[in-house]
Amino acid sequence: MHEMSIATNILEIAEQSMDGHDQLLSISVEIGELAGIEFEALEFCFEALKQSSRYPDLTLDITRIPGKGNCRKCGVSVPMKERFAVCPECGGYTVEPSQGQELRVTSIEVE
Amino acid sequence: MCDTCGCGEGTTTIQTPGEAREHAKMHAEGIEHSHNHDHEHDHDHNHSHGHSHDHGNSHTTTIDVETDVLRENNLLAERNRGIFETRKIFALNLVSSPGSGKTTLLEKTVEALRDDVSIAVIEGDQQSMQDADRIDKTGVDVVQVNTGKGCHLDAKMVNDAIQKLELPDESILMIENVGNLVCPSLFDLGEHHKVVIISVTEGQDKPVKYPTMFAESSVCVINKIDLLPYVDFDVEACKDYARQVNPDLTFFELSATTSEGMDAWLEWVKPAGND
Repeated sequence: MHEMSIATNILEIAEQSMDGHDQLLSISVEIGELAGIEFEALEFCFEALKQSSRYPDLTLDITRIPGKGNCRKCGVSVPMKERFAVCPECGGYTVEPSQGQELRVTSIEVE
Repeated sequence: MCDTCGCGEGTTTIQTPGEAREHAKMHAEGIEHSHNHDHEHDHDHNHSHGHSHDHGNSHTTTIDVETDVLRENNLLAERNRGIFETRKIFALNLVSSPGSGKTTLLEKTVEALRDDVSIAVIEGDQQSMQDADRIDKTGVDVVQVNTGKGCHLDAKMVNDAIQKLELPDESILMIENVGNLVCPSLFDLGEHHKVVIISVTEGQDKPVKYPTMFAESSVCVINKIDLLPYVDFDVEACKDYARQVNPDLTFFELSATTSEGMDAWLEWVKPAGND
Protein backbone atom coordinates (compact mmCIF):
# COMPACT_ATOMS: atom_id res chain seq x y z
CA MET A 1 0.00 0.00 0.00
CA HIS A 2 2.62 2.53 -1.01
CA GLU A 3 -0.34 4.26 -2.67
CA MET A 4 -0.98 6.09 0.63
CA SER A 5 2.52 7.61 0.48
CA ILE A 6 1.95 8.48 -3.16
CA ALA A 7 -1.42 10.10 -2.38
CA THR A 8 0.20 12.10 0.44
CA ASN A 9 3.00 13.24 -1.87
CA ILE A 10 0.48 14.29 -4.55
CA LEU A 11 -1.45 16.42 -2.04
CA GLU A 12 1.76 17.97 -0.65
CA ILE A 13 3.03 18.88 -4.12
CA ALA A 14 -0.36 20.43 -4.95
CA GLU A 15 -0.42 22.45 -1.71
CA GLN A 16 3.11 23.73 -2.36
CA SER A 17 2.03 24.90 -5.83
CA MET A 18 -1.06 26.92 -4.82
CA ASP A 19 0.69 30.25 -5.31
CA GLY A 20 -1.26 32.12 -2.64
CA HIS A 21 -4.71 30.80 -3.56
CA ASP A 22 -7.01 29.56 -0.78
CA GLN A 23 -8.99 26.80 -2.36
CA LEU A 24 -7.66 23.69 -4.01
CA LEU A 25 -10.35 22.31 -6.32
CA SER A 26 -8.70 19.58 -8.32
CA ILE A 27 -5.36 17.91 -8.97
CA SER A 28 -4.43 16.43 -12.33
CA VAL A 29 -1.89 13.64 -12.41
CA GLU A 30 -0.37 11.48 -15.13
CA ILE A 31 0.36 7.93 -14.10
CA GLY A 32 1.80 5.24 -16.33
CA GLU A 33 0.40 1.75 -16.28
CA LEU A 34 3.93 0.46 -15.57
CA ALA A 35 4.62 2.86 -12.68
CA GLY A 36 3.83 0.27 -10.01
CA ILE A 37 0.67 2.03 -8.89
CA GLU A 38 -2.63 0.29 -8.28
CA PHE A 39 -5.07 2.88 -9.61
CA GLU A 40 -8.03 1.81 -7.48
CA ALA A 41 -5.88 1.74 -4.35
CA LEU A 42 -4.60 5.25 -5.11
CA GLU A 43 -8.14 6.56 -5.57
CA PHE A 44 -9.20 4.87 -2.33
CA CYS A 45 -6.25 6.36 -0.42
CA PHE A 46 -6.84 9.80 -1.90
CA GLU A 47 -10.51 9.73 -0.86
CA ALA A 48 -9.48 8.86 2.70
CA LEU A 49 -6.76 11.51 2.72
CA LYS A 50 -8.88 14.39 1.42
CA GLN A 51 -11.50 13.86 4.13
CA SER A 52 -8.93 14.85 6.72
CA SER A 53 -7.49 17.65 4.57
CA ARG A 54 -8.67 21.23 4.29
CA TYR A 55 -10.27 20.43 0.93
CA PRO A 56 -12.94 17.71 1.39
CA ASP A 57 -14.41 18.44 -2.08
CA LEU A 58 -11.10 18.07 -3.86
CA THR A 59 -11.06 15.87 -6.96
CA LEU A 60 -8.20 13.84 -8.40
CA ASP A 61 -8.09 13.52 -12.19
CA ILE A 62 -5.91 10.64 -13.26
CA THR A 63 -4.70 10.38 -16.84
CA ARG A 64 -3.50 6.84 -17.49
CA ILE A 65 -0.52 6.51 -19.80
CA PRO A 66 -0.48 3.10 -21.50
CA GLY A 67 2.68 1.02 -21.36
CA LYS A 68 4.90 0.67 -24.43
CA GLY A 69 8.29 -0.87 -24.92
CA ASN A 70 11.00 -1.86 -27.37
CA CYS A 71 12.47 -5.35 -27.48
CA ARG A 72 16.25 -5.19 -27.10
CA LYS A 73 16.63 -8.46 -28.97
CA CYS A 74 14.47 -8.09 -32.06
CA GLY A 75 13.84 -4.35 -32.04
CA VAL A 76 10.05 -4.39 -32.24
CA SER A 77 7.89 -1.82 -30.46
CA VAL A 78 5.14 -3.51 -28.45
CA PRO A 79 2.35 -2.47 -26.08
CA MET A 80 3.12 -3.49 -22.48
CA LYS A 81 0.53 -4.44 -19.89
CA GLU A 82 3.13 -5.34 -17.23
CA ARG A 83 6.60 -4.08 -16.36
CA PHE A 84 8.19 -7.42 -17.30
CA ALA A 85 6.41 -8.51 -20.44
CA VAL A 86 7.39 -11.28 -22.79
CA CYS A 87 8.22 -10.08 -26.31
CA PRO A 88 5.46 -11.39 -28.59
CA GLU A 89 7.98 -11.67 -31.45
CA CYS A 90 10.93 -13.50 -29.89
CA GLY A 91 9.56 -14.70 -26.53
CA GLY A 92 12.36 -13.09 -24.49
CA TYR A 93 12.04 -10.94 -21.37
CA THR A 94 13.99 -8.21 -23.08
CA VAL A 95 11.32 -5.57 -23.59
CA GLU A 96 12.57 -2.19 -22.38
CA PRO A 97 9.73 0.16 -21.34
CA SER A 98 9.64 3.38 -23.36
CA GLN A 99 6.37 4.73 -21.99
CA GLY A 100 4.14 4.04 -19.01
CA GLN A 101 6.39 4.73 -16.01
CA GLU A 102 5.20 8.32 -15.54
CA LEU A 103 4.19 9.46 -12.05
CA ARG A 104 3.71 13.21 -11.93
CA VAL A 105 1.39 16.01 -10.92
CA THR A 106 0.70 17.93 -14.12
CA SER A 107 -1.55 20.78 -12.94
CA ILE A 108 -3.90 21.96 -10.21
CA GLU A 109 -7.08 23.97 -10.25
CA VAL A 110 -7.35 26.63 -7.55
CA GLU A 111 -9.64 29.46 -6.57
CA MET B 1 3.56 5.42 16.51
CA CYS B 2 4.76 5.12 20.07
CA ASP B 3 5.24 1.39 20.46
CA THR B 4 4.87 1.55 24.21
CA CYS B 5 1.60 3.35 24.69
CA GLY B 6 0.16 3.51 21.17
CA CYS B 7 0.02 7.30 20.98
CA GLY B 8 0.44 9.16 17.71
CA GLU B 9 -0.91 6.28 15.67
CA GLY B 10 0.26 6.31 12.09
CA THR B 11 3.32 8.48 12.57
CA THR B 12 6.91 7.44 12.17
CA THR B 13 9.12 7.09 15.23
CA ILE B 14 12.86 6.68 15.29
CA GLN B 15 14.52 5.48 18.48
CA THR B 16 17.44 3.53 19.82
CA PRO B 17 16.94 0.51 22.11
CA GLY B 18 18.23 2.51 25.14
CA GLU B 19 15.67 5.25 24.60
CA ALA B 20 12.89 2.72 24.22
CA ARG B 21 13.83 1.03 27.50
CA GLU B 22 13.84 4.38 29.29
CA HIS B 23 10.44 5.23 27.81
CA ALA B 24 8.99 1.86 28.79
CA LYS B 25 10.31 2.38 32.33
CA MET B 26 8.53 5.72 32.59
CA HIS B 27 5.27 4.08 31.60
CA ALA B 28 5.80 1.16 33.99
CA GLU B 29 6.56 3.45 36.91
CA GLY B 30 3.84 5.95 36.06
CA ILE B 31 6.30 8.80 35.60
CA GLU B 32 4.65 11.73 33.85
CA HIS B 33 6.21 12.63 30.51
CA SER B 34 5.32 14.12 27.17
CA HIS B 35 5.35 12.54 23.74
CA ASN B 36 6.59 14.11 20.56
CA HIS B 37 4.00 13.46 17.91
CA ASP B 38 6.24 14.78 15.14
CA HIS B 39 3.33 15.97 13.05
CA GLU B 40 1.25 19.07 12.68
CA HIS B 41 -2.29 19.20 13.96
CA ASP B 42 -4.88 20.48 11.56
CA HIS B 43 -7.39 22.84 13.07
CA ASP B 44 -10.71 23.75 11.61
CA HIS B 45 -11.07 27.46 10.99
CA ASN B 46 -14.33 29.16 10.39
CA HIS B 47 -14.09 31.49 7.43
CA SER B 48 -17.67 32.72 7.44
CA HIS B 49 -17.88 36.31 6.16
CA GLY B 50 -21.43 37.00 7.31
CA HIS B 51 -22.49 38.09 3.86
CA SER B 52 -22.98 36.46 0.53
CA HIS B 53 -20.81 36.91 -2.52
CA ASP B 54 -22.47 37.21 -5.84
CA HIS B 55 -20.05 35.79 -8.32
CA GLY B 56 -21.00 36.39 -11.89
CA ASN B 57 -17.94 34.61 -13.17
CA SER B 58 -15.59 31.88 -12.05
CA HIS B 59 -12.35 32.65 -10.23
CA THR B 60 -10.91 29.26 -11.02
CA THR B 61 -7.29 29.27 -12.09
CA THR B 62 -5.24 26.40 -13.46
CA ILE B 63 -1.60 26.24 -12.39
CA ASP B 64 0.90 24.09 -14.26
CA VAL B 65 2.84 21.95 -11.81
CA GLU B 66 4.66 19.26 -13.83
CA THR B 67 6.34 17.74 -10.81
CA ASP B 68 7.42 14.15 -10.28
CA VAL B 69 5.47 12.68 -7.36
CA LEU B 70 8.61 11.08 -5.95
CA ARG B 71 10.69 14.27 -6.33
CA GLU B 72 11.03 14.93 -2.60
CA ASN B 73 12.03 11.35 -1.86
CA ASN B 74 14.50 11.28 -4.72
CA LEU B 75 16.10 14.58 -3.65
CA LEU B 76 16.56 13.23 -0.14
CA ALA B 77 17.92 9.97 -1.53
CA GLU B 78 20.49 12.04 -3.43
CA ARG B 79 21.39 13.80 -0.19
CA ASN B 80 21.85 10.42 1.51
CA ARG B 81 23.97 9.26 -1.43
CA GLY B 82 26.13 12.36 -1.04
CA ILE B 83 26.67 11.61 2.66
CA PHE B 84 27.57 7.99 1.87
CA GLU B 85 29.97 8.97 -0.91
CA THR B 86 31.85 11.73 0.86
CA ARG B 87 32.21 9.71 4.04
CA LYS B 88 32.91 6.40 2.32
CA ILE B 89 29.95 4.65 3.89
CA PHE B 90 28.86 1.48 2.12
CA ALA B 91 25.05 1.32 2.38
CA LEU B 92 22.98 -1.78 1.74
CA ASN B 93 19.18 -1.91 1.67
CA LEU B 94 17.94 -5.39 2.63
CA VAL B 95 14.53 -6.16 1.17
CA SER B 96 12.39 -9.30 1.28
CA SER B 97 9.03 -10.67 2.28
CA PRO B 98 8.50 -11.17 6.04
CA GLY B 99 10.20 -14.24 7.46
CA SER B 100 12.97 -14.68 4.90
CA GLY B 101 15.61 -14.36 7.62
CA LYS B 102 16.80 -10.78 7.11
CA THR B 103 17.41 -10.12 10.79
CA THR B 104 19.28 -13.39 11.35
CA LEU B 105 21.43 -12.66 8.28
CA LEU B 106 22.11 -9.19 9.70
CA GLU B 107 23.04 -10.53 13.15
CA LYS B 108 25.47 -13.06 11.67
CA THR B 109 26.95 -10.52 9.26
CA VAL B 110 27.45 -7.95 11.98
CA GLU B 111 29.01 -10.50 14.36
CA ALA B 112 31.44 -11.66 11.67
CA LEU B 113 32.56 -8.21 10.53
CA ARG B 114 32.29 -5.93 13.57
CA ASP B 115 35.91 -6.42 14.66
CA ASP B 116 37.27 -5.41 11.24
CA VAL B 117 35.00 -2.57 10.25
CA SER B 118 32.50 -0.14 11.81
CA ILE B 119 28.93 -1.23 11.17
CA ALA B 120 25.65 0.45 11.97
CA VAL B 121 22.13 -0.79 11.38
CA ILE B 122 18.80 0.87 10.63
CA GLU B 123 15.88 -1.42 11.38
CA GLY B 124 12.56 -0.80 9.65
CA ASP B 125 9.30 -2.29 10.85
CA GLN B 126 5.75 -1.07 11.24
CA GLN B 127 5.88 -1.58 15.00
CA SER B 128 7.99 -2.86 17.88
CA MET B 129 11.64 -2.75 18.90
CA GLN B 130 12.10 -6.52 18.41
CA ASP B 131 14.70 -6.37 15.65
CA ALA B 132 16.61 -3.40 17.06
CA ASP B 133 16.87 -5.21 20.41
CA ARG B 134 18.33 -8.26 18.64
CA ILE B 135 20.92 -6.17 16.80
CA ASP B 136 21.66 -4.17 19.97
CA LYS B 137 22.88 -7.38 21.60
CA THR B 138 25.62 -7.66 18.97
CA GLY B 139 27.08 -4.41 20.29
CA VAL B 140 26.81 -2.29 17.12
CA ASP B 141 24.86 0.96 16.85
CA VAL B 142 21.27 0.46 15.81
CA VAL B 143 18.25 2.67 15.30
CA GLN B 144 14.71 1.40 14.94
CA VAL B 145 12.39 3.18 12.52
CA ASN B 146 8.75 2.34 13.15
CA THR B 147 6.69 3.33 10.15
CA GLY B 148 3.31 2.94 11.88
CA LYS B 149 0.97 2.19 9.02
CA GLY B 150 3.70 2.67 6.42
CA CYS B 151 4.74 -0.32 4.35
CA HIS B 152 8.27 0.79 3.42
CA LEU B 153 11.14 3.02 4.46
CA ASP B 154 11.59 6.25 2.55
CA ALA B 155 14.63 8.45 2.07
CA LYS B 156 13.58 10.91 4.79
CA MET B 157 13.29 8.19 7.43
CA VAL B 158 16.78 7.01 6.52
CA ASN B 159 18.09 10.57 6.60
CA ASP B 160 16.59 11.13 10.07
CA ALA B 161 17.99 7.80 11.26
CA ILE B 162 21.46 8.66 9.94
CA GLN B 163 21.46 11.85 12.05
CA LYS B 164 20.69 9.75 15.10
CA LEU B 165 23.32 7.10 14.39
CA GLU B 166 26.31 9.44 13.94
CA LEU B 167 27.89 7.04 11.49
CA PRO B 168 31.67 6.90 11.47
CA ASP B 169 33.53 7.41 8.17
CA GLU B 170 34.49 4.31 6.19
CA SER B 171 31.78 2.23 7.76
CA ILE B 172 29.05 -0.11 6.59
CA LEU B 173 25.40 0.87 6.97
CA MET B 174 22.91 -1.95 6.75
CA ILE B 175 19.27 -0.97 6.35
CA GLU B 176 16.67 -3.64 7.01
CA ASN B 177 13.56 -2.54 5.16
CA VAL B 178 10.00 -3.39 6.16
CA GLY B 179 9.20 -7.00 5.18
CA ASN B 180 7.37 -6.42 1.91
CA LEU B 181 8.35 -7.37 -1.63
CA VAL B 182 6.29 -4.67 -3.32
CA CYS B 183 6.38 -1.14 -1.89
CA PRO B 184 10.07 -0.72 -0.92
CA SER B 185 11.01 -1.22 -4.59
CA LEU B 186 9.61 2.20 -5.44
CA PHE B 187 11.57 4.23 -2.89
CA ASP B 188 15.21 5.10 -3.49
CA LEU B 189 16.99 5.46 -0.13
CA GLY B 190 20.34 6.51 -1.61
CA GLU B 191 21.78 3.04 -0.94
CA HIS B 192 24.57 1.45 -3.00
CA HIS B 193 22.67 -1.80 -3.50
CA LYS B 194 19.30 -3.28 -2.82
CA VAL B 195 19.87 -6.84 -1.62
CA VAL B 196 16.78 -9.01 -2.10
CA ILE B 197 16.57 -12.04 0.16
CA ILE B 198 14.48 -15.08 -0.66
CA SER B 199 14.33 -18.16 1.55
CA VAL B 200 13.90 -21.72 0.28
CA THR B 201 10.68 -22.04 2.25
CA GLU B 202 9.08 -19.61 -0.19
CA GLY B 203 7.99 -20.27 -3.76
CA GLN B 204 10.87 -20.48 -6.24
CA ASP B 205 8.80 -18.43 -8.71
CA LYS B 206 8.69 -15.36 -6.45
CA PRO B 207 11.06 -13.41 -8.73
CA VAL B 208 8.53 -13.42 -11.57
CA LYS B 209 5.59 -12.85 -9.21
CA TYR B 210 7.24 -9.78 -7.68
CA PRO B 211 9.50 -8.79 -10.57
CA THR B 212 10.05 -5.11 -9.75
CA MET B 213 11.91 -5.86 -6.52
CA PHE B 214 14.21 -8.35 -8.25
CA ALA B 215 14.79 -5.91 -11.10
CA GLU B 216 15.66 -3.05 -8.73
CA SER B 217 18.07 -5.21 -6.70
CA SER B 218 21.62 -5.95 -7.73
CA VAL B 219 22.18 -8.82 -5.30
CA CYS B 220 19.97 -11.81 -4.48
CA VAL B 221 20.59 -13.89 -1.36
CA ILE B 222 18.96 -17.32 -1.31
CA ASN B 223 18.71 -18.06 2.42
CA LYS B 224 17.95 -21.14 4.56
CA ILE B 225 19.70 -23.58 2.18
CA ASP B 226 20.10 -25.95 5.15
CA LEU B 227 16.38 -26.68 4.73
CA LEU B 228 16.67 -27.72 1.06
CA PRO B 229 16.39 -31.46 1.82
CA TYR B 230 13.01 -30.86 3.43
CA VAL B 231 11.34 -28.46 1.01
CA ASP B 232 10.32 -28.43 -2.62
CA PHE B 233 12.56 -25.63 -3.88
CA ASP B 234 14.75 -25.75 -6.98
CA VAL B 235 17.59 -23.23 -6.52
CA GLU B 236 18.53 -23.18 -10.21
CA ALA B 237 14.92 -22.67 -11.26
CA CYS B 238 14.65 -19.77 -8.81
CA LYS B 239 17.80 -18.20 -10.26
CA ASP B 240 16.47 -18.66 -13.80
CA TYR B 241 13.26 -16.90 -12.84
CA ALA B 242 15.24 -14.08 -11.24
CA ARG B 243 17.49 -13.71 -14.31
CA GLN B 244 14.42 -13.34 -16.49
CA VAL B 245 13.71 -9.99 -14.86
CA ASN B 246 17.31 -9.07 -14.07
CA PRO B 247 20.10 -10.83 -15.98
CA ASP B 248 22.77 -8.95 -13.99
CA LEU B 249 21.86 -10.21 -10.48
CA THR B 250 24.67 -11.51 -8.28
CA PHE B 251 23.60 -14.55 -6.22
CA PHE B 252 24.66 -15.82 -2.82
CA GLU B 253 23.31 -19.15 -1.57
CA LEU B 254 23.67 -19.47 2.19
CA SER B 255 22.20 -20.38 5.52
CA ALA B 256 22.49 -17.60 8.08
CA THR B 257 21.54 -20.15 10.74
CA THR B 258 24.27 -22.74 10.04
CA SER B 259 26.75 -20.26 8.43
CA GLU B 260 27.02 -22.46 5.32
CA GLY B 261 27.89 -20.21 2.37
CA MET B 262 28.35 -17.13 4.58
CA ASP B 263 32.02 -16.57 3.65
CA ALA B 264 31.33 -15.50 0.06
CA TRP B 265 28.62 -13.11 1.26
CA LEU B 266 30.88 -11.61 3.93
CA GLU B 267 33.67 -11.08 1.40
CA TRP B 268 31.22 -9.19 -0.76
CA VAL B 269 29.87 -7.05 2.08
CA LYS B 270 33.30 -5.92 3.24
CA PRO B 271 33.95 -2.62 1.44
CA ALA B 272 37.22 -4.00 0.07
CA GLY B 273 35.21 -6.69 -1.66
CA ASN B 274 33.32 -4.08 -3.62
CA ASP B 275 36.08 -1.97 -5.10
